[in-house]
Amino acid sequence: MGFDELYERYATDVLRVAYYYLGDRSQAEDVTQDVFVRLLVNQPALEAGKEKAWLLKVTLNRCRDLWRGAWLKKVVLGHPAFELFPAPDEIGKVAENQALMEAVHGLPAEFREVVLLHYYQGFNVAEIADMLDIAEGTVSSRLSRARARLKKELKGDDSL
Amino acid sequence: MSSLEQLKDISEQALYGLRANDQLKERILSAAEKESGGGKLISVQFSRAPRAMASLCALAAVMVLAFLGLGSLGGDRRETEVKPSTVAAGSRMAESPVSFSAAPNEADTLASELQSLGIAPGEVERISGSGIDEVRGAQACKDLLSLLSSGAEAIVGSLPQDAETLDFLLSDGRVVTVPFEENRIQLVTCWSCPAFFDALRNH
Repeated sequence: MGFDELYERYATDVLRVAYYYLGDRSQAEDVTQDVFVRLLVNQPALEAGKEKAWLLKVTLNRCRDLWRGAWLKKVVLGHPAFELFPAPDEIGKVAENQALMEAVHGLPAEFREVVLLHYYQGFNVAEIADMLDIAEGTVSSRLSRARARLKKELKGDDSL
Repeated sequence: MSSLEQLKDISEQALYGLRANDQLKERILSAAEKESGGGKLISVQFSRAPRAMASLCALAAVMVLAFLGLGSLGGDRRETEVKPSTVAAGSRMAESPVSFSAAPNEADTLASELQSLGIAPGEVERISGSGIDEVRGAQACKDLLSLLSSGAEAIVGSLPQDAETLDFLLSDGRVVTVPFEENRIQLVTCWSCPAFFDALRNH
């Protein structure tokens, strides 16, 4: 798969995951640039079917590096230059959705990563373990603890 | 209450306007070509003219973003010289907006930014905002957007987070909200467009 196809298929996922992680559009674009520049310059031998996993693994590594910058932790979801809202008759639902997104964004980084990869990007526990170089049990544990934190954050929501 | 199982759908809806567009792609290609020294990217095929244009666009985008003061950690941006006195403090607009004249094709940049937000001509059915009478109808909105597309000028700085907002109701029911202040509107870049705001306020 060439650069154009990889970009077409996965760049938006990379951008959105980075944005979700960092809460800053400009930084998310920087990360997306870094990831794809690395792809172009290093030309790694990507296993067929695992291109997206590689891209998101590099994305999260880069996000982690940036997140260590103390100033960035002050940036929260909802601060970008624009926000999207559905039609007025769905405002109530949007409020719930935003609460969930902000709660996910507010999770500690190690929990946020597994939640984004599992619930947002659809990777299973084994795939996430491989991407993050951690044990499957650790992934499951983090997902469980993340759910508990979100449940508490969202005031005892049983649907989580 | 929304469930984690719905996180994908919720996020896709909420981040709909956040897309990796051609502008970012050109920026990536330019940065990669620069990093590789120009001769290693055999899988990337670019004709001579687009490559030159891509470099110019990428340079312009890098400079605009650097001027926005959003805190760059990207490699290219670090290499862009920015005088501290010309950067907006925090997220505030510079007191005297400075025209950014280096952009080779601002109309294309603005069109790309509007497209990335989903604000396509003919797709906007209503424009409303603080202190502005609502504009209804696809044609009226299209006419207004054509003023924005043809008469806007990129400026240094970004609008404060407490700026007023303009709502663009799209034909699919979504509403895209962007900040504005006086004659300036914040997309990815901050744009000045007196003609658009004059028409908006006097329609």
